[in-house]
Amino acid sequence: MSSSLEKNMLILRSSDGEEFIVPEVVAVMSKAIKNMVEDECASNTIPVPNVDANILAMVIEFCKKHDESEAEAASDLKTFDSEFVNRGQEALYDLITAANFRDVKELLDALCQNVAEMIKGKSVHHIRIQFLGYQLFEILTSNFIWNIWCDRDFD
Amino acid sequence: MEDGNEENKDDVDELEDEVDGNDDVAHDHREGHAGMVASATDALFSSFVFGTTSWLLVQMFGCFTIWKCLLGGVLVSKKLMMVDWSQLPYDIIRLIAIRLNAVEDFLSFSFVCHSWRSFYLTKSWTPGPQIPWLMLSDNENSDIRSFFSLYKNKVYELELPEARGRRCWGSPHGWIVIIGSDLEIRLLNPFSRACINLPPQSTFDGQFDFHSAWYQFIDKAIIIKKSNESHTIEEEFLVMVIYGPYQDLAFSRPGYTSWVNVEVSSYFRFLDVVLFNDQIFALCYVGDLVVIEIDAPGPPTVLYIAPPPHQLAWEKLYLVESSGDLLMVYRYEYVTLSGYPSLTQFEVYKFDLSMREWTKLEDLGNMALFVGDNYSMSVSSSNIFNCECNKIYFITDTVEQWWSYNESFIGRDVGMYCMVDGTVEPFFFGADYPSYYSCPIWVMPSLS
Repeated sequence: MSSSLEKNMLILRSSDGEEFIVPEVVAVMSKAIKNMVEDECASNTIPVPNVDANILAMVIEFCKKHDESEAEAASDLKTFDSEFVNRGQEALYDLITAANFRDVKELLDALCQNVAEMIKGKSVHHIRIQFLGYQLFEILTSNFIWNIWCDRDFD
Repeated sequence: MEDGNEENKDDVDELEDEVDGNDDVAHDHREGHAGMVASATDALFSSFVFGTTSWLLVQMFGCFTIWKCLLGGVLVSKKLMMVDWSQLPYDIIRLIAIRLNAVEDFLSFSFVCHSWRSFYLTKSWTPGPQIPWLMLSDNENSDIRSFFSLYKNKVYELELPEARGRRCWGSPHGWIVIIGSDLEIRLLNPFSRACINLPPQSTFDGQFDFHSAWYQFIDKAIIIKKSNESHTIEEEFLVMVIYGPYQDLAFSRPGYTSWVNVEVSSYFRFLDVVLFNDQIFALCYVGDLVVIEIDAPGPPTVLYIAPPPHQLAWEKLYLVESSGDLLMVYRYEYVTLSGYPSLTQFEVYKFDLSMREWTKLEDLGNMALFVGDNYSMSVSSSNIFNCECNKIYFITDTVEQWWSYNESFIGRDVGMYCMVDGTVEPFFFGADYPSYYSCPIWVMPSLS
């Protein structure tokens, strides 16, 4: 199989065994994969543990877009980014951990920016509901007092 | 079955984790990590103390929660979330935190759960420009001090026993000057609760008029911070106070043993002081601009710069540094036919250093000014954090005036003056009961 592969292509294998054939330039947007390729410790097939096929496909889509659109206007890319990261809680979380684990900087930046925008202007209570799902807990404790400076070792 | 057990175990782990957090952090229990029953009692407690929620409503919720708890309702609600955001690695928490601009957002984020607080605890978050918080009046019977955030339009209550029973003056550096009936003077950061002693009132050169009360001795205190020099925190601060019956000027620094008087003829009664172009500018009665030189060898000197733009009667004068300009702000109070409330108007003049004269400004551009019993501040970004540009945010800051009200402040005498049409729009921060020695002040939030 590896002999039939074009020279600058790599195979990424997700945690659930699905394989993706991607150009090397796209794959090496992940610093972790780049290091493996540079160290030549990888065969053509690179296992990507902890990332399932669904998430890996999204990451590859993002990297492909960023690789192709280097020459494109930055604003187009921004629009793509903001649409790309606009996902449900679960996909967002899985993408963040995948991007962090495989060290894909552009994706991680876009995702963290998205989470920050979701947090801005909200109370502790609302953030907890949104991200932690502590609904019952928090209805009771959404009180006025917000003893934020409780860490008294601050000097 | 096994799955269920695992979920269960995770939950227990997390609860334990959060209980651990509670051990480290006093008062954290109010945020309700500790568990269902504890949070129900907390809510009851806080509704007793602060009356923000209807007692009955909370009790109903309490019963409901205990019932749900018995049925394993916690686990049901937890299972709705398939991913656990509280398990985010530190690197990601940091990346999210540095993208939050407002202190309020960063603190909300940091207090969501134990692990999200990890970046806050490193104390390495560096905020961009902020807008001031309004520190409300003191309540002698409580260690709690309220702060109003314009951005969140919300009152935060912070435990601050250091400021209890003390008069305060705000600053743009996160620090305030406090004086109490013990006549001790200190610098206090209300957000970190760090405290630095200054020489006590007894070390003033000027004679203390025993007929006046402790809270009248200092008229205004101004904290000047030179941050570009790599000094220790003690050397960074210069505190200037306008004090005594003749509104004299004195200065001191942390570590000094006494206050140093700025000797002038009795003609100069000081009104306000500001740092501009690394020089200390002051306004004197009736609006004359002077420069004060304190670092040169020999006693401090006062250099006359310019007369005021006009001689009309004003209520209060402020000196503000605003994006490289030196501004003088006139506040006028006009009594209306109905007597009260009076009509507050402002005029702003800009100083031309080369011509040494004031020119009237009709427009502040994208600036907003914050004036009151504090170092007058300007915020340069347009419309950040619900702060509207081309407005003057003001507080009636004459203690005598506060006495005469004898009732609560519900946004009256605290408002936004619009430079375009001269209207005053009050903003509402709930009932605030000023005491005879304390009125609301502007202070910039700072976590360091």
